[in-house]
Amino acid sequence: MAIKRNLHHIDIAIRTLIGITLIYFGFVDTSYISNEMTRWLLGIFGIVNLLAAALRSCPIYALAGINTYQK
Amino acid sequence: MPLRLKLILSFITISLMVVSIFSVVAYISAREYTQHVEQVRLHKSNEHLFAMLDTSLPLLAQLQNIVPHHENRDNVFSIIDISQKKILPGGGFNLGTHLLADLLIQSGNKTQQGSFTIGKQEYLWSADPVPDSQYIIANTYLRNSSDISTFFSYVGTPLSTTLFISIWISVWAALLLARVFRQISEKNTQLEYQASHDLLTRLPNRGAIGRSVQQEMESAKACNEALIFCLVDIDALKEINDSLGHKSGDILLDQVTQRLKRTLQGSGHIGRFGGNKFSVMIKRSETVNAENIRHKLLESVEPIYEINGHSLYVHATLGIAIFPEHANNAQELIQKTETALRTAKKLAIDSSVYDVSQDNNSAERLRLTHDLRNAIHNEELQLHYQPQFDVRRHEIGSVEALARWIHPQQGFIPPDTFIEIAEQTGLIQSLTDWVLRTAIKQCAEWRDMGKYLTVSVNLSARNLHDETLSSQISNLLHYWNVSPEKLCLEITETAMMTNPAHAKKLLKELDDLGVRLSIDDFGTGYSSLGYLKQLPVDELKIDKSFVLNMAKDESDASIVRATVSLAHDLGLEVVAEGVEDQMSQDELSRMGCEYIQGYHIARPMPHDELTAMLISTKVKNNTQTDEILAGVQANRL
Repeated sequence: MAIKRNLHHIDIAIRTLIGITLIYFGFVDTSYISNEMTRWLLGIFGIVNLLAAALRSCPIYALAGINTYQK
Repeated sequence: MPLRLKLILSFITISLMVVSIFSVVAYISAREYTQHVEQVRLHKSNEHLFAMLDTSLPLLAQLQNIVPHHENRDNVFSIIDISQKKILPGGGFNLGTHLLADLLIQSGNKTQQGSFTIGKQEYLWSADPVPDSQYIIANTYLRNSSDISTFFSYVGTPLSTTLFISIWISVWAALLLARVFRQISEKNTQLEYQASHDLLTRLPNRGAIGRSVQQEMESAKACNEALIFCLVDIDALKEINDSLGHKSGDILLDQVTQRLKRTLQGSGHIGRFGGNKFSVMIKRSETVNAENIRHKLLESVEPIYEINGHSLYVHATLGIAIFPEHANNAQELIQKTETALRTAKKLAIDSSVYDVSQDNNSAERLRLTHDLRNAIHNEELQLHYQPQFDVRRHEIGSVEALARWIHPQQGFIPPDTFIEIAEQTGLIQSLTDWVLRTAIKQCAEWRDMGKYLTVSVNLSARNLHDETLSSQISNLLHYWNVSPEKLCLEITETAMMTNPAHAKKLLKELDDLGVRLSIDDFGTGYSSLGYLKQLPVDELKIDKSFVLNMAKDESDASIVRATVSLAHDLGLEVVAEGVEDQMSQDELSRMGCEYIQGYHIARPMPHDELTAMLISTKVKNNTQTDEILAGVQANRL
């Protein structure tokens, strides 16, 4: 089943930024956050955001009937 | 504020509150835990101090010697003499005074722990009795204010992360919930719309029309205005549905809707009342009244429709009622409009404004129906008999039984009124039963008196559908031992023609019984002579409308003459009713009419009056006609 795009490019940019930031603090530079579980949480959230940005589709948006993508 | 935003804000607030509560609880728990850890440490320091004491040397001197060497920022000692209730020199004297009160309250032979504050500084302490002595060593620790910042340095980041993730998840949840709410709300709106609108024309349906009428009536009442409510009945819809299919019917309804909307131009309310009926409600004003709205609606609805390549002419019928003239509430106004519409259809006219005289369902009429039901059940009706004069035998040979109703409150109710009610409400069956019972019984009484009269009873169209009628009549005749030919059943030609096949069957059964059958009000209906000749009838009764005017109107006289001739040719006897003068009677006698009936002979009268008359006029004797009539008329007066 084809994934329907529902993210506007600004939305994608914000998610990419958030995703990279969270992955950086979660997995790359561990000196800022000492708690490992917290780092993992942030890292996973970062991956989720980056994945949504890459696919240009947010599953939560799809369920909530939101579409920021404008043709 | 949009629901989605409201939910997002609510969820973020809840997340913040949860994280805040969690932080406070965690902080309090952490404080309690660190206090416990510090107090255990203080206690262990005390025990370490005691381990250094030599029991063979003076105890106090040793304590005062050792304690200063062990004091540091985290351990401030006080030496307390329990027996003297005072703090001894050699330790953190100042801090010790704060402990003394607490320690003196408690027993001094076991470890005590607690805390106190001086200004904004909090101190933790652990007081342990020096073994085998009256001394207590209290070890005090000034709690570091950086404990809190240390705590937050540990939990701050996880808490912030948790808060961030909680808010993120909250926003997701809020978005999803907003979607669910929106879907439920859309579904409800859709259901509400479906419940109150006709889906084909998208107009309000009957229920919504009722509510809308009520609302408009209330506002009109407040402003002292009038409302015109119309029902537009599209006559041809059924034919179009049957011949061109329902799709064409739907197109017609849609086009009618568009035309009505164009006509009213938003000045009134249009609704689909059901089936082929539309409702229109509009405020009455100087320019809008029942007459011009009627014209407008008919002009708008009736022009030719182009449906699927067919040009169709559609006829519409309008019923109109006005608030406040005709009704005070919505239900009543709609009811009155329906009555007006029925009247228009019944009279085959384009439109009708409600008229109380045409309302068969008025409260008064309903009361009368109820009273009639009781009157029949309680046998409160009276049966009058109108003599029919036998021209050939010069005697009163038969009588027509006619029901009369004297209402306890309203007095005499015209037969036309209550018989119409009886026919419309189905009471005619019971009424006919009662008339037959009473008339046959009376016939038997007259026979017992030696008066061999034939009694005529009127049947209505509804009686012709009664499968049990012939057996019922047979039973009654048998019960009262009355010869069947002494009962004549009068049926109007219109009644016979409503269901000719059924009427023919029933008349055959009645004829087989041997009762006489008469066609009543002959000449006023739409009977077929070809059909009538097949019926087993014995006589024709010429309608009084022809007889009344025959002396003045030659056409009526010709009709009567032709009818008498026709009847004779068909082998039927003729009764002429409505004879009100001698001239008519003479003329009818000349024409060969067998029986005459009318006010000239006698009015309908109660049985005792008729019995008295029969006795006094010696009906059985072969006296002259004039004498009989003179006697009859004398009795009548």
